[in-house]
Amino acid sequence: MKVAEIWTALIVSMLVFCPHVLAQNPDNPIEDALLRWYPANQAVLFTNSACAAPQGLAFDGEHMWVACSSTNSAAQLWELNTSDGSLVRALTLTNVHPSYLLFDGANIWATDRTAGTLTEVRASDGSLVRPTMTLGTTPSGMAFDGRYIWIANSSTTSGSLTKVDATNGNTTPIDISAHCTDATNIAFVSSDPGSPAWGNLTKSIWVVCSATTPQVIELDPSNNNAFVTATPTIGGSPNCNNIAFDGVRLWFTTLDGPPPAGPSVIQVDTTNPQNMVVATSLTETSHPDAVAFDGEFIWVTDSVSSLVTKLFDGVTIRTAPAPGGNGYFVAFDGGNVWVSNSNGGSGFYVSKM
Amino acid sequence: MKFPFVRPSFRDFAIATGVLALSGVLCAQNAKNPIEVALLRWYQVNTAVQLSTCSPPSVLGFDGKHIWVACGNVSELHEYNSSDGSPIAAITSVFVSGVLFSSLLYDGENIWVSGNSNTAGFVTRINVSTVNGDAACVAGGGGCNCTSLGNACASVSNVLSGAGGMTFDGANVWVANGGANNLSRITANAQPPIAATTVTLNSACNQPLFLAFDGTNVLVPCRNSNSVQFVTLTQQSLLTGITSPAWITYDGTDIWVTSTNGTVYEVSPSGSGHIVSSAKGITGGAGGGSAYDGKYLWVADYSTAMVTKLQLGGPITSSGSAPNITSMTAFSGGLTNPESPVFDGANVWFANSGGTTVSKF
Repeated sequence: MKVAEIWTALIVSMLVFCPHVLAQNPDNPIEDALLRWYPANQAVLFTNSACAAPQGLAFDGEHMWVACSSTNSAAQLWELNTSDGSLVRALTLTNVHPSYLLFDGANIWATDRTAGTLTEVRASDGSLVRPTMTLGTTPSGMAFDGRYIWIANSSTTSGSLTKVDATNGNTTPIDISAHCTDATNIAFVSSDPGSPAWGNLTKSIWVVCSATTPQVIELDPSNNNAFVTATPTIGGSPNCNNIAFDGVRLWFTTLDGPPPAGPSVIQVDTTNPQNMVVATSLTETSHPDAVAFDGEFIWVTDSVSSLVTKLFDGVTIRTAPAPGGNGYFVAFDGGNVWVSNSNGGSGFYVSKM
Repeated sequence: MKFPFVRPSFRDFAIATGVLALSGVLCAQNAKNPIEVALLRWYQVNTAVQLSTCSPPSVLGFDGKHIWVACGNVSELHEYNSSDGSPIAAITSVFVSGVLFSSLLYDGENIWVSGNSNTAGFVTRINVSTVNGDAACVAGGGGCNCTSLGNACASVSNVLSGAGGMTFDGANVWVANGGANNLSRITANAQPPIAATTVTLNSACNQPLFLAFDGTNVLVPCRNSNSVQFVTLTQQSLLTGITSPAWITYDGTDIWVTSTNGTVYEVSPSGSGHIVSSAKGITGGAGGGSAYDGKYLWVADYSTAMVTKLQLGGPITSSGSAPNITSMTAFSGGLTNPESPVFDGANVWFANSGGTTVSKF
């Protein structure tokens, strides 16, 4: 390597990594205001026996919504103040056991994986807008494109999505079985002219397909959801309670990814899906699950342990235990990362990392 | 079969990290805004959410947490949570019937309201924390007479005809008097009775309608004089060559002047100001106003019900021949005569003045 190249590489590396001697994002004014210079909060846990088996999380700009999914008691949606975890509102849902949550700017949308339905609740007053819209089998991940809610229907024998008009609740089933089996999660990618995603698209839908040939596929919503491309195989048993988008790349986990195989975090470049790499390999005993992006770091939960892994550009910065136990879903509120803790399905355990 | 982790070479490592660091240009939103990241706001615009409000919403303001909506026909002011649109307060009996609101401004403590009633301009200061939920202020001539609330609500005298846009310089509230072709300056924390000081513009300025502040100067677009005046407490300067300037927005570095003919001008505030470049392309024109969200300039056109989103490329250069605009994209959807855009830290709001809703776009 020539001297000039060495210096160039050194300078680039320093520019990239120097800020990350800090444990948090100094460019985030909320974290600055919170004096959040620690790498992870291992002390704050919200518990309450009235709401069991917390799963999905969604942030509405002020409050964190939690899906209390227990089938043993009245399922609820809880709305918490992000500053102190105090309960703003608890909504009891009849015959609905919410799992995944999504906020569209005004309403909270919740999937019921068992019943195959979608429920819409007005965030401002907790009123029920649409109690049950029928989706496909085991509706899981959701994405919002500014007008429509896109839902991945998880079935090991077929591939389907459901598109829901957020203005009126009209549903449209989308058959993607020719290219995808067992859609477990979904992401919407939009870009400005001049910096499009793969296929020269400024709008695209990305679906994690878990069965047959596990891969991520790209669809064109402006062209009748036509298939555009697919990544190389992403390995076996991808877990996608949350996938994360960082503005360019998609991040998700698998139990047995492509070489070097084993539990890993995968990243896919949406400008070149063939540029899919194992961002980091995790310990063989881990069961990486949900992923969230906080503007700087990628956070990964583990469903068989309390350890939460924190990555920067695919490199593990550190792991820290969530005080609530095994990780489930994860979400960012602008200043802190929240983890719902499965904890055997009993009780309400939500960690504010 | 498991393979041992292969440590990349130093060169691989450096190149990879460099590419990753420089590749964050795809997304349609501001990936550096933590609230937008937390909201998973990766879409270009939100055409699904319209929140009902008073009729018709004409002017919007933001106080750091809540969106304020002024509705002319009913002479009311409404306050909503910006996160979910839940109502906070409604001020329904302060303003006289038939008032025309021009502008809302937040100074850190108070919401300032400007407008006109018949031919009389008015400016009113309302303390946000005191009046939440309180509609006891008694209406009077000139737009507002809220003496029953004491210092919580104060009308300003001496405001001249055509009270329009306002801006805050940290100590004073400035008001554009479009009907009198001058400005009013008001000490923001003055005790009632509050009197405005009239600021005569040195150069002819026909129809100053909206204002902005760049940290040093009050920026005054003079719509019918094809110019922008730079005003401080002690001096004024004139920038000519800007056709029909309607709205003006400062992004922390540059000044963006939008014209009713659809042209956007990039102006350097240095010295007495100079035009760096200009470009046409705003759909329909800029008749509804503009707002900056940290990455994009949003321009509303009242007549075509379109919003143009301009991606700003970076700091201005004195040698630039074209504006630092990477792209212009026009959007519609759920908009009815959009105007008065405001940014709440994560979303851009528009008043649908032809209807009864505001769009959280």
